[in-house]
Amino acid sequence: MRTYHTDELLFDVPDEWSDRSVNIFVSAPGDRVPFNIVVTRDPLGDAELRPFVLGKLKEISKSVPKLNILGQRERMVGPLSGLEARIQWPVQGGTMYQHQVYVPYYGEVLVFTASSVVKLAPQCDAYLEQMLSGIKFRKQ
Amino acid sequence: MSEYTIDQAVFPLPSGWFDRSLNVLGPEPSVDEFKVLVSRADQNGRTLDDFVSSQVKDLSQRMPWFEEKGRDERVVAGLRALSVRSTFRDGKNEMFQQQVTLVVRGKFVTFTAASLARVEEACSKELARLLATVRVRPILDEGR
Repeated sequence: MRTYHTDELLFDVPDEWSDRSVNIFVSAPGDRVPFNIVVTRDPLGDAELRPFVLGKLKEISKSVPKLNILGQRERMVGPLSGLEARIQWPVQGGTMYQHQVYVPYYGEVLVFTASSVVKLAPQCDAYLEQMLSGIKFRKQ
Repeated sequence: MSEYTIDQAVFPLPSGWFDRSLNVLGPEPSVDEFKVLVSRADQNGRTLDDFVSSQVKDLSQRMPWFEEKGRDERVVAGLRALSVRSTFRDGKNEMFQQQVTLVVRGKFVTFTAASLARVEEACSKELARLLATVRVRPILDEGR
């Protein structure tokens, strides 16, 4: 058994249980929010991070027509070395923007994704950086 | 700015943002489709009883062949909680779920254990085991 941490509660789960949680944070109530940040988890195992990220971006480009990958690069998140990508794609009446940060964590990948319309991209980036600049990872 | 805790980390969250997180936990793969979900909703002045009733009403409208099997009151982490057991259909499968909701710091937090209906007893038992270990996280940041 191990202790599982949520923002409100702690509880014990069997060691072998997987965590496929999705943390969703929105800047306003309702459906049409200017900014959101989503944290997801994917299994990585012994695989390398870079091919994993390339695979993810390929997967997204298959389902999102006219996806434009603005750039990818290595970056640090706290003490951990990760990768980040910025993408955009056209939607009805505008263009969406997404800043993704991939961090390997004990055989999994934590993916932090901030989204907004492209004209709010600088603020979107700032919110994500605010979150990541103060992050403290839990040691297992 | 307040601190937000997930299982892997703690990070600052911009003030005034809303939390719509859903925890999805369980064995993988699961032959009996067993999993535990933890969801949240803002209390917004609603009572626990009203919230649970509206949750059941919503499920009965969304889930095919939804049937409430029973409702009871219990204590989780020293707090009053309401439990609802129900069945519904998912494709060809007859499913069982038990939802236990409590109020923590102005939020309704709901634990949902779901599985194939044929293993409902084991599903409820596993949820009971988990709920017996629930503790409220101490507030470290008084500013939140």
